[in-house]
Amino acid sequence: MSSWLLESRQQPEHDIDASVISLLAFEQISDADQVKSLTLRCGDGTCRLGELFSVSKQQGDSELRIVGDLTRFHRLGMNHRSGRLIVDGSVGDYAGAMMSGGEILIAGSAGDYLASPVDAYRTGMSGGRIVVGGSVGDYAGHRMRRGQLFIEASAGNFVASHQIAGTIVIGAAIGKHTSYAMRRGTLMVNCPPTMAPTRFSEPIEANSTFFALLAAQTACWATQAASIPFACKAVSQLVEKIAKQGYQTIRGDFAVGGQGEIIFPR
Amino acid sequence: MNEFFHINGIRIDATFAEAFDMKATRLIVTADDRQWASDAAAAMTGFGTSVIACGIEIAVERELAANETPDGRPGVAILAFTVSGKEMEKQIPRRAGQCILTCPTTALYAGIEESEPKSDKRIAIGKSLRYFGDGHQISKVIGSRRYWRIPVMDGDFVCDHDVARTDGIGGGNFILIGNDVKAVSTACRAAVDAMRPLRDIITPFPGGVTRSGSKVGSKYAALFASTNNAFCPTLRTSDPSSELMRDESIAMEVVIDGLSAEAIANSMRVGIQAACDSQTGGGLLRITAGNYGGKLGRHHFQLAEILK
Repeated sequence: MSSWLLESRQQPEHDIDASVISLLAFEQISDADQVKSLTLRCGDGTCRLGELFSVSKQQGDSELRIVGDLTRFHRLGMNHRSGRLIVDGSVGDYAGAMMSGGEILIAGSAGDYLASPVDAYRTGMSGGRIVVGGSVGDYAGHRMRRGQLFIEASAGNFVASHQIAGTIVIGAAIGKHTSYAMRRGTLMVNCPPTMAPTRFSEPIEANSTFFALLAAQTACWATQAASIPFACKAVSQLVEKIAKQGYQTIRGDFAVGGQGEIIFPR
Repeated sequence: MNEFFHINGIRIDATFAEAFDMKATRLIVTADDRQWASDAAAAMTGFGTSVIACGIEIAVERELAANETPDGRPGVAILAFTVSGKEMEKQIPRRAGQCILTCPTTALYAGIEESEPKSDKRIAIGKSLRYFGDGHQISKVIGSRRYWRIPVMDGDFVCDHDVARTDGIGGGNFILIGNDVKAVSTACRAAVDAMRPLRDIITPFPGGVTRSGSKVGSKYAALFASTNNAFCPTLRTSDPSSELMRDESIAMEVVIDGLSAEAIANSMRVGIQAACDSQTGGGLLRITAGNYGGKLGRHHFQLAEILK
């Protein structure tokens, strides 16, 4: 699989369905002109990818790097399943929706519904790793089933709602209604969240060697990624703190018979 | 080479050790402190001296420092060998469940380096043990490895989903012969002590040594192994197949299983050299090796070649 660089030429006037911009779609394409001719849904109409981006083929394997502010680009990295998607900028809603493998690295912030399902689908992210250098909107990790979601800054409301499995780590503050209807999975945050006492347990002190494994992997990954703006310092520090000092855990959401875990340092 | 030779006055026979293909794997046990890790490993490797009746040959390969283990705690590496993959699939989950899961603070990890793509020859660990969690177990994937967190009375028991099975070699050996129990014991212990730091090998018998070396077959149809009468001193004068000489009244055998022929050959060299260097007061007379005429196992470790 080849590597591509897309550099933003102009901001779109309307919201863009960016699900076409993916390594999966580029897999069969050999030259930049073909990439430029791809059609994107833009508002109520369409436009060519080449109108918005300059496109160049790069050395390397299975990497798509996009440079620019993509806050009007939604569904970027949807169904991503292998390789690495790097965004040097911020992205819109539904980034990494239903991805099942590979990596998505976002240097800036992400909109709502990061790693969620789209439309009437019921399963969100089911594998791979998403790293966001900035903050994310509401419903991050909604219906997430597997994989890792590392958010360096803050997250909005309803983070980890309906989560089924997987690991979400948030380096800064989170909004309201955290882990609403969470069934299983792990949410790691840096301070005790406010949870509904009827649906979630009291925090209890715990320890698990698993977090030493996660800390080792996160540190290793952060070191490898240090040359690009995805070092994830806050996330790495949080995981390491939990691994070394132990943690408090809240279980729930009991309203749906869930036994997910919300973890924060002692 | 057909001629025997001497090291420090001890005769080394011009013969070879005959070894067999086996199935192997490595497990890593960690715990909050060295004692729990060692206790768990001792339980796991108990009754694992010989495939003849234990079904598995399993022993501690070496102790691991905290910086050598996946979770940064003190640990122990265990090597296990069986004659078939099916037997390994039976033995490992059973022993892991009763000996590691039960021991406070422990965790259990795969110790065989993964190939790319992953080998499909795998031994279940958490894949089997997770059911002990009775629905409260948690699966976690880091990279390409799946771990299980099983709630237990001291927190979580963490283990790998499975471990790769690889090819190994069992039955590397050398036999130390002398005229004094103490002298041969001293030589055996010196050999095993010297071999202990080596990687990729184990000596599964008590103290690394057996006094009941066996031959293949028996006059009793139900047995597929029986005493190695060629090296039994009480039979020296009555059994025409005896290989013991006039002054030889004691024989002990060091048996080695390893992940490669090179590892076994190296360990034999180190062990024999250490035995010959040990202070036995002339009680250690000869070192030889056990074989079946080369008809049974495809790995032949010529003592002369190993020690040259």
